[in-house]
Amino acid sequence: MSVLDWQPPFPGRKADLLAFHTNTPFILSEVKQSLFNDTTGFACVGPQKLAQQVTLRLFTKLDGKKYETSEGCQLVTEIVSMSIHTVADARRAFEQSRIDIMDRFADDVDTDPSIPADEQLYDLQWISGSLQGDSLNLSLRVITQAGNSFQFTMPVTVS
Amino acid sequence: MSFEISSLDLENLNADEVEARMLRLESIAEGLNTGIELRTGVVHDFVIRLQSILGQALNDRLDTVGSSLNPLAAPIGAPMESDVLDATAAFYGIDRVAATSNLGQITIVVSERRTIIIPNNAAFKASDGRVFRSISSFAARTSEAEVRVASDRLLMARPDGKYEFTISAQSVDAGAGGTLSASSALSPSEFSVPSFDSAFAATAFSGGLSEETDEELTERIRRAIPAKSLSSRASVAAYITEPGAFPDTLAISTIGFGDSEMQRTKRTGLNVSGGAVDTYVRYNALPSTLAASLEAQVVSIPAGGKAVWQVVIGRDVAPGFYRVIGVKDSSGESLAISSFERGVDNSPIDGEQVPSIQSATDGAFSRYQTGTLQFESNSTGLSLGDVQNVSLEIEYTPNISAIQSKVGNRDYRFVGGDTLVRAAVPVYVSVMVTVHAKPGITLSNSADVKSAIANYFNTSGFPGTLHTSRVAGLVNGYLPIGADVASVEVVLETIKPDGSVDRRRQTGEIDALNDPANSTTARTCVFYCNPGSIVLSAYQENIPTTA
Repeated sequence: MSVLDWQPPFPGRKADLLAFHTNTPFILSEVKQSLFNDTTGFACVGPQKLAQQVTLRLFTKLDGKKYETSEGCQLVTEIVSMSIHTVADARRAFEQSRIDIMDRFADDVDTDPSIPADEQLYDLQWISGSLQGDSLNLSLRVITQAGNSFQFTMPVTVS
Repeated sequence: MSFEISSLDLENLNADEVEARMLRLESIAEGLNTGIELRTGVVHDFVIRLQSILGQALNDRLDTVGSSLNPLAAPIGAPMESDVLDATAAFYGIDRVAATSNLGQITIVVSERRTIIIPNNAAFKASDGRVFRSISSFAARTSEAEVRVASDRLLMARPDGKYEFTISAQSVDAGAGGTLSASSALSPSEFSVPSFDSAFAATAFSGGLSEETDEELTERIRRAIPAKSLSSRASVAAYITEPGAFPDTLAISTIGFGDSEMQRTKRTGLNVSGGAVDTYVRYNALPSTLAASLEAQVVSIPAGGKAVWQVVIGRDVAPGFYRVIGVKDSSGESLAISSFERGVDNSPIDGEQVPSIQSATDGAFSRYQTGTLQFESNSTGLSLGDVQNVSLEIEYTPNISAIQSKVGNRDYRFVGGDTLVRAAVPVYVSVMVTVHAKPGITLSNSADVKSAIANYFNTSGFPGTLHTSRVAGLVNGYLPIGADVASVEVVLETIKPDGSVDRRRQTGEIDALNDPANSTTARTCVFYCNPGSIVLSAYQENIPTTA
């Protein structure tokens, strides 16, 4: 099958490759992360796609994407520099990152107003967090402009 | 041609070009696959973005290869692939000049008369950190009977009761960065000399070449293209530097008809400048030095108890020499030069055309130049005509005689006149750089800074004008935050063909002297800057002088 023969799985939508999937070998081996269960397909749209984009942005260090310097946030920057010692530290870093990420998604909509409402970020909320050894478990909620809500847990291990 | 990703520079790409490439790639991919999200998300981050970075790096690399394949069409300063440029140069029969060490002699003084072994590659360090290594093992012997092989040296008694011997050595640093003036103090490093007292450079360390840069190699390719004949200025340079001749020549400037510097023909009385060509040559970054053993003769014994000795420097001793740096008698004692006069010997040479030369000034720095040097001594026990051998340290440009022979060859010489090859008029540069630094800042790398400054002057060809602001910029590149160049002062010492010396201090533009009646202009002068003539100093509380 050539590239030109490829048929989009979600007509009228732009699908992203589903990377945070337990069956998907993922290049960031140090970060064990799964957003979706095994029964989900390997392309995603809507809230799942948005949650994945939120995760990618949340996992990007400040200056972590060379030549795309507007990307990156405080949370993972502090995690890899071992600056998170308490859940309060994680909450503070998350709130700083949340603002930056909301701005980035707003910029995306300014650039491309045709983004579907269920792929636009309305809010990113902290549900809970726990710190055990070198594992940080964050439970977050993504709310789309269309009103969908998607809650997921991010177990982050930094070794 | 293939490139390993590991050999690509992914870190220093132009961010705007990467972004533009990313947008183009997104647009192309969207046209092919309307259903895939490309501007954000996984495909963007792990396919589009990485492909854009890699594509830009490959593009940049291919640009450098393209520049290296056609260096004459490349923008000035464009980066090159050195190995590709070497292959391009080979097409013109040109090889890149390799780095070579400066050669010289080291005298080692010891307190005891005993056999001393200096190992091969033994290091001697100068006060500024430059290192010079013995070129083989040497053995200092206590009697002539023990001196059996070339590396054996006889331990000589000194007037101060100590002993000395001299070994051959070479600089670790190539080119101008590894030069050292005669008499500079040295000390053993990484090894010890039994009964060691002191060591010094018996002769200057000179003659080394820096590896030819991409820019210099490109310039030689440019010079290799014109026809190799003695007609236009470009073809004269191509003729002299053609493969198998003198390809290492750094710069050539040709003076001919209508040029104000052409004085040879004016002295015939006709006051015209046709029929003669003067070709000025810069062969090395710095002039070379040689030690010549010549006979001195007592030529007068004036009243007052002094004898005047005279030494004649023939035209073959150091063809095209600039100056005599020092004179020593057979015991190694330095003698003060009381007078020096240039002359000319234009007697015929087999198979060569000898150019018309009317005066010593017109023959200065050519292979026909001679010199007469005088020094004085106590006249006790001396009579007119007495002789002694003395050693002269002479500074010169190599290959002047050989290049003259090449241009004087009957088959190839200019049929409308004669060509005189002259070493470029020397302008010796001393540089004083003052750095202002905040307290607590450490200034280092003074040897590297000096080398960079010297390189600026020594690779400038026949520039006419250079700038102290460029020197300041070079130095600033080595300074930490909190330290800046406060001033740059340059002293120029020009030896003109008539033998007079012009000294000037400059703080802005660094200009060659404009004295065409003395054949001294931007078209005949080159700047020589020895790192040893550069002084770096810093001021601020607790900041010491760095050199």
